[in-house]
Amino acid sequence: MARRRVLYALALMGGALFFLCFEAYVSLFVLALLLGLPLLSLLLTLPVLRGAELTLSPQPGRLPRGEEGVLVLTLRLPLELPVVRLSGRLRVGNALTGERELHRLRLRSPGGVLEETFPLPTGHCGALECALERPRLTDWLGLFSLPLPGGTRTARAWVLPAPMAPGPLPPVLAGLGMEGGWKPRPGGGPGEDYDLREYRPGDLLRSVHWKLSSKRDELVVRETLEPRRSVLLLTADHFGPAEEVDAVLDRLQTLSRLLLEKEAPHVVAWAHPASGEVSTFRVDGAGSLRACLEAFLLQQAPREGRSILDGPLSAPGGPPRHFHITPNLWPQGGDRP
Amino acid sequence: MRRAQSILLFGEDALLLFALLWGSLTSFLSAFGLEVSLPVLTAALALLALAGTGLCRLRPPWSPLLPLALIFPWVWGVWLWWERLLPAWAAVQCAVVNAYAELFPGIGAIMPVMELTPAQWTRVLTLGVLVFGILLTLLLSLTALFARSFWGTLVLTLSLLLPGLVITRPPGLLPLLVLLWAWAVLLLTSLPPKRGSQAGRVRLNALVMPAAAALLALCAALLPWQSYQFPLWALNARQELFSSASSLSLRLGLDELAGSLLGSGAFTAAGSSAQVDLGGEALSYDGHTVLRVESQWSGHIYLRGHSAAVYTDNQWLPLDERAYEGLLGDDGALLAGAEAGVSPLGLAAQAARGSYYAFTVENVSAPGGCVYYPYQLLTRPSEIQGAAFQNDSYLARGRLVGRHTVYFRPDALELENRQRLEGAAREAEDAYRSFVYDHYLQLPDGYEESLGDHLYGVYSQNTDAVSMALISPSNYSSTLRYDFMALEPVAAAQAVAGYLAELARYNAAAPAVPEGEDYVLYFLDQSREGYCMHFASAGTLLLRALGVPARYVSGYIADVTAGETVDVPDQNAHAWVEIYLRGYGWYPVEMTPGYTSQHASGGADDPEPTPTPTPTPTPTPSAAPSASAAPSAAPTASQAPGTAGGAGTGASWLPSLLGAAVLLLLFFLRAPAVRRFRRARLSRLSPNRAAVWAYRRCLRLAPWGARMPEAVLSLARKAAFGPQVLTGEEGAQALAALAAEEARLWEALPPARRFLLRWVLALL
Repeated sequence: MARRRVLYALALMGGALFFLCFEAYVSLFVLALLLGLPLLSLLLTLPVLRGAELTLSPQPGRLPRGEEGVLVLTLRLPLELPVVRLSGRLRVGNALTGERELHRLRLRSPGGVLEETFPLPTGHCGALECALERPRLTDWLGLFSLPLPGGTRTARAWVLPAPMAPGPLPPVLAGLGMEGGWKPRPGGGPGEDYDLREYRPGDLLRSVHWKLSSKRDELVVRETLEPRRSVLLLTADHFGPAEEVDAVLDRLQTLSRLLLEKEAPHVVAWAHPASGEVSTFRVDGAGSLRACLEAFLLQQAPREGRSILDGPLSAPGGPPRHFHITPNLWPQGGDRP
Repeated sequence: MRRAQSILLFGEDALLLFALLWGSLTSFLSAFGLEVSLPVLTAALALLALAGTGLCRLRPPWSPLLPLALIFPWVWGVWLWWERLLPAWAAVQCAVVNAYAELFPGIGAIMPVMELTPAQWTRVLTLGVLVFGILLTLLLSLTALFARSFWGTLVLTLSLLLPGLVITRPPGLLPLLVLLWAWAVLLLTSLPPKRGSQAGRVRLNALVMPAAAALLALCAALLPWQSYQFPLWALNARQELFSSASSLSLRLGLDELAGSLLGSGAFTAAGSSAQVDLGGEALSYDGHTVLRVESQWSGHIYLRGHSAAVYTDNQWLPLDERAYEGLLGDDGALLAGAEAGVSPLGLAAQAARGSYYAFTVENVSAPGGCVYYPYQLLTRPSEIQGAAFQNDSYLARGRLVGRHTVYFRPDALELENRQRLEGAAREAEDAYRSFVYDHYLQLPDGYEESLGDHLYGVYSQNTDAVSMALISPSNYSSTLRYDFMALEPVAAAQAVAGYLAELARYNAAAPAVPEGEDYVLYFLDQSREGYCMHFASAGTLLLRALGVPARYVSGYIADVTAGETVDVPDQNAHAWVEIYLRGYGWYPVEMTPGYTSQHASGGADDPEPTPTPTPTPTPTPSAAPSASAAPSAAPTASQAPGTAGGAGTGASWLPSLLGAAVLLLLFFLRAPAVRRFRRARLSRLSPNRAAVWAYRRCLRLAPWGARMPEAVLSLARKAAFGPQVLTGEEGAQALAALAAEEARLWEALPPARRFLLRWVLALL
C-alpha cells in the first residue's frame, strides 16, 4: 500500500505539474480525475465496510494438549466482492505460560468468502487468548486502510491437559476419606447404621426408640449415623516451567477423574504464585472439574512463585486428607490410555 | 449461474478493451484533426474488442501466447499490404508533421504526393487506423485484460495521446472522457487478485464502471471545458514554482555542478556564464524572475555577470588562470598598489567622487554562480561577504548565499565627472593596464584580415563620430584636462556600434550559425541579423582589431526605482562590451541596436531599432538622488547576506508554504510516533521494569497534577527493592493504574495544557 500511496502522490504531483504547464482543458480533467478517484474509491468502499462480516473462531474450542487445532478467520463482504487487502495483527497468547505470538495479516481474496486458518500453539496447556487487532480493509484504489466496524475480534481456545493412564491412588487417598469412623447424620432420617443414646431435649419424637425405652424405662433415642468422610484435598503449585505445569495438570485431571469415578468428591486448591491467595474449587462432577481446570489455565504461571504448601491448609468440612500433586506422581505414567 | 457470470465478465472486459481502443485512437485522431469514418471505426473496434477479449479468455498457454504470436502475422500482413496502407501513413505523417511545423518554425510543412478526394482520404485513413487497431488490440488485451496491468496499459494508450499534448493539441472531449473512464476502471479493479472467483470480479466491475462514468460525467458537467481559460493563479503559481526550483538549484550550486559535469552548454537558462557557447539556438524565455534588486538609486542599470576574454571556435572563454599569476592576490585585489585594495572590477569607481548607493541583489534563479552587480562597484575585495572576486572576470557567489549587498557609484559612469586616479589606486591601474593590453587585444589568427572590410567600414562610415571625439572643441578641452587618449576608445566604440547598427538587423529569433562557419564572420558577412550576443561578439572583436582593449560581458539590464524592489525577468538577459579606458578601468558600451532604457524591463525579444544607436549605456539617476543611508567617509562593508532587510528578503511564498506544511505535518506526526515508540518499548519491558517505568512516569507527570497511584508505588517498591520478580499480571496492574491516572489527569486538565502535554511534550 505504501507503494500505491507513493505512486499516487507522484501521479498527483505530476497531474498538478501537468495542470500548471498545460493550458488546455485536458490537464484540468486529468487533475480532477486524480483528485476524484480516491473519493470515488472511498465512496465505493465505505458501504462494503459496513456490511463486512469478520469472525474469528478456534476449531475445536477445547482440545487436549498436543493435538492440532486451528484458528479460522472468516471475512465475508457484501455481494461477495473481492478483498483488496485485509490487514491487522493476530495476537495469540497463552494465559498460563505467558507465551505470545504475533502475526501480521495481509490477506487478499478474489471474491467470495475469505477464509484463512492459523495453527494454534497447542504445545502447552493454557487458555489461548486470540485477538485480531486493528482489522482494516484496503479500498479499491489501495490508498486507504479503513478500520472494520466492530474493532478487535477475540476468541478463546482451551488447551486442556492430555489424558493419561492413571496409576494407583496415593495411599492418603486410598480410603477415599472414609477412615474417620461414624458420625450422626445431621437431620437424622432413616438409615441402617444408627446409635442409641439418652433423650435430649429437642430430639424429635419420631427418633425415640419406643420399644427400648419401655424396656429401659427411660427415653432412648435412635440416632442415625453416617460414615465420617474426610475432605479430599488435592493441591498443586501454580508455577514452574511450562513442562512441569503441564505434567501437574495432566495428573491433576487424571486423579480428579479417578476420584470422581469412585464417587469421591474432592477439593482442588492452589495458591496464587505471587499473592499467595488460595483458589479453591469443589469438584463433584465433570462440569465442576472443567470449571476448575479453566480457572487454573486462565492464571499465568510464572517460573517461580509461592506454593500452597507455604501456608496453612484448610478445607471446608473438617481436616482434609491432603495430597499435593507434583510431576513425580505416577513417574511411569503419562501414557495415553 | 456460472455461465451467466462468465458471459457478464466477458462483456465487461470487452467493454473495457473497447473503451481503451476507441478512446486512445480517437484521441489521437481528434488531436490532429484527422477525418475517419467514425461509425465504421467504432463498429470495427467493437469487433476487435470482442475478439481480443476472446483471445484473452483462452486456456493457458494459449491465452498469453496466441495474442503475442498473432503480432507476427500482423507485421507480415502490413508488409504485404504496405502499398495500400501508405496513403493512411502519409496522411498521419502529414498531419503530425504539419502540426509540429506550426509551432516550430524549423520544421517544414509537408504535403502528400498522392492526390485523393476527401472521401478517399477518409476511407484509406479509416483502413489504416483499423490495421493499427489490430496491433493495439493484441497489445492492450495482454496488458489490460490478461495482466490487468494499469501501468502497461497507460504506457500504450498514453503514447497515442502524447504527440498531441506535447504541442498543446488537446483531444476531443468524448475520446478523452472514454479514455479516462477506462483508466479509472482499470485502476480501481486492478488490485484484487487476478485469478479466482469470477463472481467477485463481475460484481466489482459492475460497481466500478457506472461509478467511474458518473464521476466523469460530473466532471464534464461541472468543469468549464467549453470555455476553459487557464486561471491566472495557476499562471502565477507556475512562475513561482519555476522560479523557486531554479533558485533552489542555484543556491545548492547544482548549476555549477551540472556545468562541470555536462559542460557549459548543459544549461540554457538566460543569464551569464564563464564560458559562452555561441553556436546554440537562441534562448527562450518564460518571464520568470531571475533577480530581485533594490536600491535607493533610480535609473536604467546594467547588472554585470561574467566577462569573457578569449574568442575561439565560436566560444567565448575566460583567460587562463596562469595569466593572473603575480597580478592579483588571493582575494582578487591587485597586488600592485596593495594599499588601495581594489580589484580590477572596482578601479573605475575610484575615478570619481560623488554619491554612492547600496545595491541589494537577490539571486532568485539566475545562473552562472556569480553575483550580478551594477557598474561601478565601490565595494573592495576585503569588504565583500558571501562572494569573492574571481580574477578580473566576475564576482563569484558563495554557495548557499543568495542575497548580497554591494555599493556602487553610478556617477563614475559619466566620464565628464571622472577624476584622476591617485596614489595606490593609480599604481594599481598602471600595473593592470599593461596586463589588459597584453590579453584583451587578442584575436584569432588571421582574423584581422577577415575583418578588414568592416574596419574600413567603421572608419569610412563613421568618420564624424571619430573626428568629433578627437577634435571637437568640447572634448578637446576636457581631454586636455584629463587624458586625451582615454576618450579615444569611447569614440571607437561609438563608431563600431554605429557601424553594426547600419550593417545588421536585430532579430531575436536568428537561426544558429551553420556548421563550420565562424559565428562573428557569418553574422557580419552573411546573415547580418542577430541578437545581443552577435552584436556584442562582433563589437568586441572589431574594437580589438582597432586596438581598443575590449571584452564580452553578459548579465541583465533593469530599470530600478529608488526604494522599490524590482523583479528582473529572464528576458532581460543581455550581452554587451566592456572597453578599457586608460586611467579609469573597464567601461560598458552597448553594441546592440535599439537597447535603450525603455527595453530594460519591457523585454528584449523585439526591440525597436533606433536610427541612432545608443553608444553608451548612460545611467539616468534621479534628479536628486536620495541615498537613504547617509554616505559615510568610507563605504562600509557589504551587509552580511541574509541580514539586510527589504522587500526581497524572503524566498518566494511557495517553498515557504511547503516548508511550513512539512513542519506542521512533522509536528503532528511527532507525538503519535513517540507514543507508538513508547508502546513498543513498553511491550518489551519485563514486569519489574514496567512497574518502575510507571512510577517514573507518574513522577514526571506530577508537576502537571498527576497523583501517584498506590498500586504503582507499592509495585515499584517491590520491583526495585523486593527479592522476588513481579508477575506479568502485576506489571500489567501497574501500567493499568498509570493509564487510569493519565486518563484522570487528561480529564482534569484545561485544553491548552492538554495540547501542550499531548502535542508539544508528547507526554500523554
